[in-house]
Amino acid sequence: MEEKRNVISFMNMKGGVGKTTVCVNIAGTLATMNQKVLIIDMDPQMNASQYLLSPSLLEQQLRSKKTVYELFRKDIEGEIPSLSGSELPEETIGNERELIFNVRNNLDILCGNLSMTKVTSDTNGTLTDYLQFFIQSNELQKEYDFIFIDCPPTSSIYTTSSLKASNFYILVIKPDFLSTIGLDLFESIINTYNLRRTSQNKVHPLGVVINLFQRSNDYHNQKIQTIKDNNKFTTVFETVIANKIPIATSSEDQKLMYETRGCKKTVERLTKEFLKIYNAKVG
Amino acid sequence: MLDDKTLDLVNKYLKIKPTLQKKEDDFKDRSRLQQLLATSILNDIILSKNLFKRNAIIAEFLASYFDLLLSKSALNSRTTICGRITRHIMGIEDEDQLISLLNVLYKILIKISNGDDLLKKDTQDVIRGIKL
Repeated sequence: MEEKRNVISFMNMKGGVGKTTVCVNIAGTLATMNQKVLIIDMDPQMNASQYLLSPSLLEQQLRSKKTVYELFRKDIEGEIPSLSGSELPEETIGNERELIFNVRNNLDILCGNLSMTKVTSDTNGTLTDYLQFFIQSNELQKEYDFIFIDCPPTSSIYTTSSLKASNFYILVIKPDFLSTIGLDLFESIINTYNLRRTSQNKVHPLGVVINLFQRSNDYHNQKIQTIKDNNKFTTVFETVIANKIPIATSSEDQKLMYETRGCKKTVERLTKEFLKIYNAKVG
Repeated sequence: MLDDKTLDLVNKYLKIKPTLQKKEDDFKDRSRLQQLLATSILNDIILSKNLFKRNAIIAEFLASYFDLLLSKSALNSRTTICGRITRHIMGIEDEDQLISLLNVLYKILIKISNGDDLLKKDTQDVIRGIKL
């Protein structure tokens, strides 16, 4: 059977555009549509984990060392004991599956961890392959309908790891000047990344999602038109997410948009559009 | 917009296109036509003496927008430049790369229709010029 192309990263060079909000809410809505989804929180700020898990559950995951950092811990922390001659704990690939936590029906998460900030450079030349290896060796693409990776802003070891593991990416932007510049910067990085990849290993754009939109704001309307003009042939999602306070306040209680008054229809429309675009891409 | 006879021409072209290529690609018909149109439009722009009085400006234009570098000898003739452009665009095998090119081309058309200076860079142009 041909491998599913279902790993999707949510990205932008610019921070504060709502990558996590879009990622978590499309995932959550897909889960209600009977699609099995895994979110991998690659951002050391671990916002996706905080969005989905109560403080006690999050603490439990951190205490029991069930976070994405475990994929890297041996290489990062193992350097010190190995230099002193002590033996490293034996870990097997099979154990890594247990890092995944079921947070809702059809929705799993591999939690983020602030300790990921220790993973700063690809010291052994293979660190950026670990995430891809984790997905492949545990056959997660078969198990899940979608695997979403929530990425931090800026180009880093985390984004390179995510790109290597991904088939597609979704760019989340805010309709303002700096955010649209982030779009150009990101395209530049992706083009360079893809130049060094075979056609099977290239990462493809799924589309641009506009978030934090203010309908009555003329500047936002103008910016959206500029984004559409400058990216005429790029898929820009028709559904835009408005800048609504209830989305933020609900997130404090781990409530998703489909559970938030006044937000359900938008996120359902966005998710249906996502499915339509995704299905058209994968054929 | 297209009459039946022109549509026949398009369909005939799409049918024989694979026999023109050495390598197979997975381009959809729409992409093939976009490639063809982009080539024609860009060549038409390059041939315009209204837009480009001197060939040296064309070199700057192509490097800035398409990262397409021309040799000094190529700059002696617009016909040669058009040949290079045709090879460049028709040689694209990746759909994402084609989309990037079409986005840039569309932006150029907006600039022309607004009467803007094609060599005056905005932030987007500057970022595109950064070599990673």
